[in-house]
Amino acid sequence: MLHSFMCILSLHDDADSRRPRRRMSTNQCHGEQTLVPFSSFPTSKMTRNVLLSLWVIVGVVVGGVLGEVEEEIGVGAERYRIEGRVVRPDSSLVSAAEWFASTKVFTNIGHFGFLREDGSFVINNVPSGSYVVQVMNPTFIYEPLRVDINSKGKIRARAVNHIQPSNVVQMPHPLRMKSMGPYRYFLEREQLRITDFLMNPMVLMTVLPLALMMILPRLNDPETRKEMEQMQMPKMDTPELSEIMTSLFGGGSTSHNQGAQQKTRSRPNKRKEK
Amino acid sequence: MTGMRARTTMLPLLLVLLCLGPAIGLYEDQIGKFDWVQQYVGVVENAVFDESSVPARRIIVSTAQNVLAALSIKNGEIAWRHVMESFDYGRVDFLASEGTQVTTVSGNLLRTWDSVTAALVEEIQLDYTPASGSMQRAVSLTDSEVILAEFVPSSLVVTTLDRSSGATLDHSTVAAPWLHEKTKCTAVEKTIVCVELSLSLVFTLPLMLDSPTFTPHPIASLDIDVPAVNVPVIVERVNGSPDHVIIQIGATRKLVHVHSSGLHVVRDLSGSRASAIADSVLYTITQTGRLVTIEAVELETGNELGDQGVEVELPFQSGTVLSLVVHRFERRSGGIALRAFVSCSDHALHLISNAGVMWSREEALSTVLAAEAVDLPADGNNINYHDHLSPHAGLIGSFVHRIKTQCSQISHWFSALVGSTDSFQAVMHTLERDQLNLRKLLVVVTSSGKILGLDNWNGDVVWSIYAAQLAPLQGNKILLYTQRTSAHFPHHPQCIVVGRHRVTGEGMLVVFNPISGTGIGDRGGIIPLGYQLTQTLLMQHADEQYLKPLLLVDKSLTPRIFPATGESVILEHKDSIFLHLAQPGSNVLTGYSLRFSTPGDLKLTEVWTVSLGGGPITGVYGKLASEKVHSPGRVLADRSVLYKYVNPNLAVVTTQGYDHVTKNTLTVYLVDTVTGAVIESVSHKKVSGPIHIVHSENWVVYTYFNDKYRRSEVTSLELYEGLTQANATAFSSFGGRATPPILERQAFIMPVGVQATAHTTTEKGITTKFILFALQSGAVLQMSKWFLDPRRPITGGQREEGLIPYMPELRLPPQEMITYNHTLPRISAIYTAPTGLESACLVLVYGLDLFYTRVFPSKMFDVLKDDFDHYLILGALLALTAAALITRKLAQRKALKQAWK
Repeated sequence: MLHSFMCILSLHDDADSRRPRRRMSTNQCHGEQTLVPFSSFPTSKMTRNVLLSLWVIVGVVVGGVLGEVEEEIGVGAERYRIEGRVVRPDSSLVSAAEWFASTKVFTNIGHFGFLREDGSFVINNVPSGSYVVQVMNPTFIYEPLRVDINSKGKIRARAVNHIQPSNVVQMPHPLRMKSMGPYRYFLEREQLRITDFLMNPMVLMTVLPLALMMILPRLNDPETRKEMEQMQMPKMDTPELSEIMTSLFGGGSTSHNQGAQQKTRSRPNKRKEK
Repeated sequence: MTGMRARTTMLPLLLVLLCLGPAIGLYEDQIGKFDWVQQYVGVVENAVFDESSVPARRIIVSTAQNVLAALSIKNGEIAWRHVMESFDYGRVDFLASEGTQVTTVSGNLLRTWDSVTAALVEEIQLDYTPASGSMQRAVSLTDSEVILAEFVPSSLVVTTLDRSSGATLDHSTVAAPWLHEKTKCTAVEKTIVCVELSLSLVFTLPLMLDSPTFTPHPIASLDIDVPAVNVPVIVERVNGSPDHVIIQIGATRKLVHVHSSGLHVVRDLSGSRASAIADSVLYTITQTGRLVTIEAVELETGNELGDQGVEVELPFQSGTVLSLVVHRFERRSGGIALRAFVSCSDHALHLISNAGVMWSREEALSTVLAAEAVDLPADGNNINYHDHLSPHAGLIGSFVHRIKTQCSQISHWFSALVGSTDSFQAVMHTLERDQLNLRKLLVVVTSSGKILGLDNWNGDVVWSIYAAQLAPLQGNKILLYTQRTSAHFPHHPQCIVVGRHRVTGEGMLVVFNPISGTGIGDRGGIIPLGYQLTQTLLMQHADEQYLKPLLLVDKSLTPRIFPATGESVILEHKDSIFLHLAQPGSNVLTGYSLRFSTPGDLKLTEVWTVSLGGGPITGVYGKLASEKVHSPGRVLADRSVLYKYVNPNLAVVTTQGYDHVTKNTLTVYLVDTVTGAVIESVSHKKVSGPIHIVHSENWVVYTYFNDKYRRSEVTSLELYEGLTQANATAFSSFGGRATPPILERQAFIMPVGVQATAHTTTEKGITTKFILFALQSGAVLQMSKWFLDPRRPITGGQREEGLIPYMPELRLPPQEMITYNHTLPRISAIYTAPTGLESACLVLVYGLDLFYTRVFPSKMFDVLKDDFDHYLILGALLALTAAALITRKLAQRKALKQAWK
């Protein structure tokens, strides 16, 4: 938990500036990161790593992919292949041509894998390094995966964690990309619902006392009424109908607006929950 | 140079509150309401008719943009499209249709596709690495083998691979000492044919032999006169035939049959544009202007099949025909039907049948390099005569002017009343400015040399100008400037395109009226300059004709003016005109002034030179000249104002270098282009491109890839003067300041890579800004600048208005994707333009596809929303009125009763 916090801070200071900054330097953050053990991954000699000395001090030699890799793309490097399968959701209704033409797998440096009839794909010509593999589809969300290929061609897939790049949650290698559901590109139109209108506090505040005023006197039997009249209360006739109407409609229309506003405000919260 | 400073207002803060509320997305019923998308395939290089059915239903094309696509023969729509890798691996060298499958060879990948479902059938990695110094590659495919022939200087490397496994079967190098970059070669199924003009020889190399060698044949043996050296040579294979080539030297063009014993001239095709063979019938296309004639000849006998030829006129202004692919089939009713697929030098595609042109595709729009939104002219009745009154007109002059303008207004009104019969006038009539100036004409310049005007309402092409010799400048750029807008009525609006001549490489201008699409001046507005350009600058001051002169600087740093009459404007403002130049590959930025110019002798004088560290300069990004900054500062939590450092002369200069300790380094300099002062610099280690920069007001936002953490990041910089302002009315670069501006900065993680960035622009700059990110996934995301505010607090403390606590990773909610479910591959840039409505901004995303939409960065604060419920308001009003009337009656009656009691 500690090192992740430091990484967040260090993000601001990845750059040098002429002015001194109050935040932490990046090296510290990196030092923290390298202490995370990778027991699940076989060790090998690390080549061309700047932080070699640091590693020696720690006394561990870990595969070059994990610490810090500057991938050199293209220059005579051995090429590897990433394999996997994209599962087409049952709710996908488009034609085969549209599905296969609009769905492909890509890495963050621009390699493509095209889908076969059964959904499997191969990304060829990938040099060793670390890549984010994503499915490009306009309708369905697919979780991206990070694929590490070390200099010996060993391939490991893990969940993408941009904030803590060293945190490893291993995934199976022939990748299995499953949709997490459709994209929701559109907002939903607010609809005028009668319950929204009635359950509005403003409406309740006006309507309930009104109802009490109107109905309560009638419920009483004539004797109590007479008693009440005798009590010489200030003239408590039924209020004028015009007033009722104006208050009802006036209150009603403003309360409707408020209801609408509340709805718009409540919407994003709902989304966050999802 | 001075910049304008606007008044303080609280309005932006109100807008912040508005825009930080719910997401500003699109409703489902708004699809296509103010957006459109046009999909393209690119510049076609190979095309075959799909063989899976007879007659063919699709035509498969592969393009220079590394796209493989199937076009429907019926209407030309894209049946499916695969965008391949953008680097060399994606380039399709070979395309064939085999039954229901399509086979492509790109890089070291042999891919087989299903021509109906677009699914990949097989992808075989060929065991081969490209030879170093390879100039060209020829691919030949048989049932069991793939033969790759690579042309390297003075030899040819032939690799034979097994088709099903990709393993190397044979690898040989054939010596060809005469082979160099200008040698023209092509490969037919079993033979390579090369023409070397300096030796007057044609070489053939049969590929199937065990130890192949080139066999020379004299050019004269093909009945071609051996001409002087510098004539264009074309060697191309004939579509639809495995063993014919076309050899054209100068004007002589021959169809040659290549067979095991040598070459044999079949026919003289001089004067024709392209040929194709189908079922041993040769189709040849000839062109005169827009009229295209396809003639059919039986190959065996040489008989002309007159009834199978066709003569058509190409639909829009078109370039010359470059290639022809023919499909012929027997109609059910008998007789032979023809489908001819033609691609032209302006990148247009046409499908021609016996009846005429079935459809055309304007593929030039897949290579848009520059865009500009032009205001449509206001209706003649609305033109205010003051707008175009010459400032030097006297009393009588202005009176005459007024009478003239009013007469022209009357005549305009009258002609509009009578109605013009000219169809073009009718089009122009429908293209009228709307009240909010939301309707504009989008002028786009493409790499083919075609300039097009698009109606932003629906994306229709209104006009096009084709300048065949116009090519992009260095760095694949074309410049487009508006010299005169349509606001100066009797004067026509004028735009200018700056490019270079395709052959000589010298500068070239195209001057045109952006509303009518007609060239201005002689030769259709095309002006070859006769010198090479290094820099251009559009003046901010207009001459008496309301025309902004364009300053052109040639290779020897001599400034020139277009039009030449604009010199007086330059001389008038010569003290405040500054230019800067950065030579490619160097790290030196030099500033020049026009101060010592005299009439007839404009002179650039060097005023400053800055040598920047961190490697060669990779980009200089200024601000939009027309940008308006509405609020000069920000209100802090303690109600004091933090003033923005708004320097209109500020440019962002990036340098990128590499060393073994820090690996890739990116340094961002903020340079004042008038004084050459480096205001700030920020350096990033272990950071690589591509770098996309947005520079506006007092802030810079840029994206890059962090090699260390292997993620895309966005850095946001903001410059502030401090709590006091040096000069509240005008900014001067020379007004020395005691303290440098305050730099605020923060970096954020971008979960997806970025293809292009832009910021929104509005009429007055009141509306908050959106940053538009074109993501690698093909979506375009709008993000409020507030999310990229470098003052977002990391720890608690006094909260400033509108500041959200810092989160390292930016969220990319799908509601903010303005392209919704469209995937836009290969986005090259995003163009934004203001409208007459302060809240609205026009967005044109171009690349392989065109996408246009409107965005509302602060919601529609100045106009009612389109879902505004008019009926509810009206109903409530009516009900209230009715209720008031009824209750009044009731009250009166009651009062009357009371009175009677």
